[in-house]
Amino acid sequence: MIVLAFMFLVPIYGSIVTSFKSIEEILTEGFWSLPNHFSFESYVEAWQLKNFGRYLLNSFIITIPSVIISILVASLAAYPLSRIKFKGQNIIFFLFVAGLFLPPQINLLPLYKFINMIGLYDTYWALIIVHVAFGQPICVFILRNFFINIPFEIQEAAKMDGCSNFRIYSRIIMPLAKPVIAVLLIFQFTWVWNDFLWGMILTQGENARPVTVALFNLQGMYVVEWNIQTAGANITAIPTIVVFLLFQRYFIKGITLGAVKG
Amino acid sequence: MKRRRINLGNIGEKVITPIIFLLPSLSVYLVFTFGTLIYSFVLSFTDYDGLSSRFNFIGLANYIKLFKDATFYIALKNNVIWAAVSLIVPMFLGLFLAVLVDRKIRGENIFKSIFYLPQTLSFVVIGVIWSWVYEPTKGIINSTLSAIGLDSLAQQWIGDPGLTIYSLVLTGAWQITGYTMVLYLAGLRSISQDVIEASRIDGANNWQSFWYVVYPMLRNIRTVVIATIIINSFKIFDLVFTMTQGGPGEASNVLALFMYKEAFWKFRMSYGTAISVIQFLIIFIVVAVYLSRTIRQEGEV
Repeated sequence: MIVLAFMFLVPIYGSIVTSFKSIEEILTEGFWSLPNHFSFESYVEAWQLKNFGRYLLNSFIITIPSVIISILVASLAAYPLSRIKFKGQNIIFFLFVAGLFLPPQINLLPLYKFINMIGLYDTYWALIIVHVAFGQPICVFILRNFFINIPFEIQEAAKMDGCSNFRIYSRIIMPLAKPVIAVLLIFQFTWVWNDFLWGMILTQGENARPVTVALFNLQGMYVVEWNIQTAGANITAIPTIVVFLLFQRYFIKGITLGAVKG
Repeated sequence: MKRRRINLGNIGEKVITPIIFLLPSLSVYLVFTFGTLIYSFVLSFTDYDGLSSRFNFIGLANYIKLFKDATFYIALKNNVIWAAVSLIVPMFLGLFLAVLVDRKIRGENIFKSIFYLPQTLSFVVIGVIWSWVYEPTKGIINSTLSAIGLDSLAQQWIGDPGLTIYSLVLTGAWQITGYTMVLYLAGLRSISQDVIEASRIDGANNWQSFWYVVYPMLRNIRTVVIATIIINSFKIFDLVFTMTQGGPGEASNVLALFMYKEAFWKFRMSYGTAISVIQFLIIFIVVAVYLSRTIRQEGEV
């Protein structure tokens, strides 16, 4: 297992050491060696000349509202799907689950046209709306499955006391769902942050372009400058890695939540 | 009078409340995914190019063209290769790692994190990192091979048409193994120790109790893993786009990328939508067949 772990880490090791080397050193020494002297030049280059700071900021501006809105909206939808019996409940839930199977390519063209039509092309909102929409299947799925296992006695008692559905949702169900919401927050964060396709299709230039697309452009521009490419890759990866290391346990719990109950 | 009020309350409870709660989510979801999905279906029967405002209905012409297009078969074959390799390598590697980690070894969390780490990275990041790994002269594989005197084994990992798709799948496997491991681990942890001990008392050795007792009990997890891998394999786009853009030539093209190139580079919008419709149907049919067979088997047991 130690051997396997080592093999898994080699590509990441390469990305880290390479980003601190100069291009001459890469050409003479290659992949394995540690940098002779740590140089931050590649980071400076990516940050200043390629404006990675701006793209990072864009990614945060897109990701944070996307995550919060998609979970909030999905939790509202999950409430009646799990706590109230009504006609068509199963069909609506099935509609959400079906979304898990959709390849995004099938929505690509009409959505591109539609976003242009409503004047949101190249704005943060274009990406936020799309991420909220595409986040619904998984968020509704997980939240509904969690909500449905909360004992109904609590709800009945609250109803006797005259609580409205909204109060039950906001005062009873949501507080109980905190752990699962934490999982979703982290998951959606990585998902939205790592998006590339929508960022590429729906933005142009610096206005709203996320950092993943900037990294792709950087890759095309510095074909042989592996130090700059890897520096860009590391900058792009840092936020998700930090989130992962901080909330590791939630991550691992989250996968099982999303899957086992399916 | 009293009865009527109760009925009204019922309508509120059974109709209005669900609608209000569902409205934000469902409207965004339906407009942006299902609305556009249906529009895609419609466009696939037209000659829309994305630029002009008018288009004509041309029936199945796009689909007929697609089934005669050699690139379609290359892309489809590559998706099938992707699924086949992914159903072997990350499936078994993930299971193997889960079994190892499950033994409550020291540093369990560190190992889990290491194997899971690639899952947290964007495919664009992975594309950069692995392009460097596969780099023909200075990249890790070839430079290590030449350092130990095995120059003859060095390859153009992402330049050789016959090899490229496998190199890409391997990168994909590196990414997804952590996911299968975590799922299997959850499955293993949910199996009661009593069952395993009972099999021991009956005289089963380690391997036998794993193969005859534990492995069959992982069936539900396995279904999820297989379905997820199939879906992912037919959706794959980012990694291929950032590493090879389908090259050399069309050698590593996949359906999603084929669609993207036709629609956005060649402005054959309606043709692109036809490709995506077929891609969707393939995923849907393969997964539906797989799941219905598994469910039937479960019924028989």
